[in-house]
Order: sequence, then structure tokens, then C-alpha cells
Amino acid sequence: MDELEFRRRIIAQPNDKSTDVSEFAKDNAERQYFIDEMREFDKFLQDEVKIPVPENLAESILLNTSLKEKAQQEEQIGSNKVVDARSRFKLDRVHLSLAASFVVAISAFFFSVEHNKINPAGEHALAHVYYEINALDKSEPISLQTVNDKLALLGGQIDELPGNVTYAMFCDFEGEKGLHLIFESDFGPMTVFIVPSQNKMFEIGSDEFHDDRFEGHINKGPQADTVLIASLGAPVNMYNDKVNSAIRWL
Amino acid sequence: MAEKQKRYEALVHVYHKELYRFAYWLSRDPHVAEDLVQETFLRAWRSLDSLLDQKAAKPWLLTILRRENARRFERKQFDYSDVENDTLVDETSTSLDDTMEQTVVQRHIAQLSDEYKEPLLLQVVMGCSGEEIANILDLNKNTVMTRLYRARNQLKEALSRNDEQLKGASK
Repeated sequence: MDELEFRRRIIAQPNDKSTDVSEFAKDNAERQYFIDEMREFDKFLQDEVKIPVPENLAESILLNTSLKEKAQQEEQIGSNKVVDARSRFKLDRVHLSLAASFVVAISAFFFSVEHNKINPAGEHALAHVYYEINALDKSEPISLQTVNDKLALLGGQIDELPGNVTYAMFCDFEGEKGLHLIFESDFGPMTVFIVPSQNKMFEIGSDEFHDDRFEGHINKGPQADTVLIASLGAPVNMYNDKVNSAIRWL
Repeated sequence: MAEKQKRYEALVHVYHKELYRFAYWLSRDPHVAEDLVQETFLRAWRSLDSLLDQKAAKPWLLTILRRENARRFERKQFDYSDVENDTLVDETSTSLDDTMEQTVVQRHIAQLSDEYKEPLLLQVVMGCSGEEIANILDLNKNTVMTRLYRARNQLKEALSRNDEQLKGASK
């Protein structure tokens, strides 16, 4: 090993503990000093790349995994049932006609009570808000440009929102890629989900929903559906109008 | 099932911070970084049975994350395909610089070209050895060592230039 190779190796990998390197630096104060200097620089770089990690990231990862896994399992169970049913139908035509009339009866029942049902999109939106409940505490504003960069992927743009945006993440809204925003209003943090209008579940049930903590409104649009969720008692309809008139579609 | 869950939780706890930081430096967007890490661990869960040796977990997770990051660009290209090019100006970087990359060296790391930045981040953020980096990036070890050498040299030079400028300014 020569001086040049020694230096190249120590610069590239300051913690190189190979015997030929240590042998070469042994009994040589200058080379030892160079190793120390490069290790110090390495330590400095290691500290510099340690940007802050979001709080509770590990918990949020574990929760996300279990929710997605559950959703996938339910989907699989659903499709298995269809396959099972089909194969049975083939075997027995009497059962087929019985099953058909059963389906008609069930659909008629659901059709009659549909208008009273909670919109499943609303239910899903509430579950999503609870799932990321800590996000409501965020207060650092995110620039509108950052929000628009994300919204552009869904084909939209926001001119302004009635408050600073503190959260902007893509989310999986029952299989549909949506944007999850939180902004600070005069009535506390409000959540907006913007989901491209291909999701059939928005079409069922009432546009308004609530539980004992939040209330929300679903706005069905031609390009995307939006869901606004605020604390119970906030003027949801007013904010809903403001938000929906602020979104433009390209 | 419980055993799998335990293994998974251990992986998340051990690697989530490092992976988030690595994802951040790749994407330079904290939100994208979080999405990448979430997606990486979700995929890791779904194929956890294929990870036979726990010691190989780190390079395995990094490979998933890099693949996810590459997918992001494929999607982006697809999503943007109908949009005029002039609307694609990256204006977020400057605002992110202000919040996340506050020191001189952080800005210099961000500006390194990808071929130098990625091996350096694998080494400094993830604590990978030259050999591990070579495997993850599918390069030979000599190439990796040369790139690490150049990356670190560029940073040192940039920092000493900056020091001189500061000294010059204070005179």
C-alpha cells in the first residue's frame, strides 16, 4: 500500500479496519492523525443527515399495515364467496333460482332503506380521521405550492383554502388514490379528502354524516368527490362551499 | 401468525427512522419520504416469509424502498404525460430547503449527483459497508469505493470553500 491508496481508502471508508490499513498507519503519527480527522468528518456527516423523523412513525406504520391487510383480507373473502357460489349454481338449478329470488328480496330491502343509510364514504372518512388523529395536532404550515404539486397528480389546483394547510398526504381511500388535507380554520383543524370520482361508495346514502366528535359533508363532483370533516358544531356547510369553490380542475 | 407479527414489529422499530431519513434524502420531501416508508413496510409485511435470514433485513428493506422510489418516478411520468412541460418546474425544493436543509453541508449533500449521493447515504444514513452498498446498487465494490471517495471529497472541498468565504467576509 502506498500513501495515495491509504488516503483514498480512509476518505472513502473512514472506519476501514482492515489489517493492511492499520498496519500502514501504525507507528506513523501523521497517518494516525489523518484517520482521526476523517473519522471526525464522518461523525459530523452522520449528525448532519439526521433530519427529524415524524413522531409516532413506527406506530403509524404498524397501524397502516394492519388496516391495509384487513382490507385486503375482506376483499379476498368477498371474491372467494362469489367463486364458491358460482360453482354451486352450476350444480343445481333449483338452488340457483332460489338464490336469485333471495338476491332480489335483499336488494329490494336495501333499496327501500338506502336513503336512511350513513354514506359508507362518510364512515370511511371518519375512520381515516381517527386513524391519523395525531395529524390534527400539526401546526407547521405547508406551502400551497406543495399541496398543488400533489393535487396536480389528481388533475386539480387550489387557489386558497380558508386557513393554513398543515397536512397534505396521498392516501388510499378504499382503493382509490386520494389527497388527505388538513387546514386550520377558525373552528379548529378541518380535514378534506379529495378523491377522483370513480368510487361508487360515494353514491350511496346521505351527504351528511356525524358521530359524537366530528361531522362531515360529502360533495360529489364530476372530476372528484370531496369530503370535509370538522369538529361537531362547526359550520360545515359554509366551509364545504368555500373549499369546493377553491378547487379548480384542469 | 403471532411470530410473524413479532418479527415485523421488530423490523419496523429497528429500521423505520433510518429508512425515513434515507427516503427523505432521496426524495427531499418529508411527505413523500413518509409515503415511501409506509409502502416499503407494507410490502415487507406481505413478503416477510421470503426474508429467511434476519441479518439480511437491512439490504432487503433498502431494495424494496429503492424499487418503490423508482415506481414513484414511473407513476409521475405517467401522470404528467398530458401536461405541458413548463408546468413541471420544481418549486418545492427551495421551500423544503428552508425547513429541512438548514446547514451548508446539508445543502451540499442534497446537491450531490445521484451516483455519488446514493452510496454516501447508504453509508452514512444506513451504516452499510462498501460490500453491502455494492450489492444493493448492483455495482462492483471498486466503483462504490471511488464514488464514496469522490462524494466525501466534494463535500470537504465545498465546506472548506465555504469556510474561506466566511473568513473573507469577516475580514
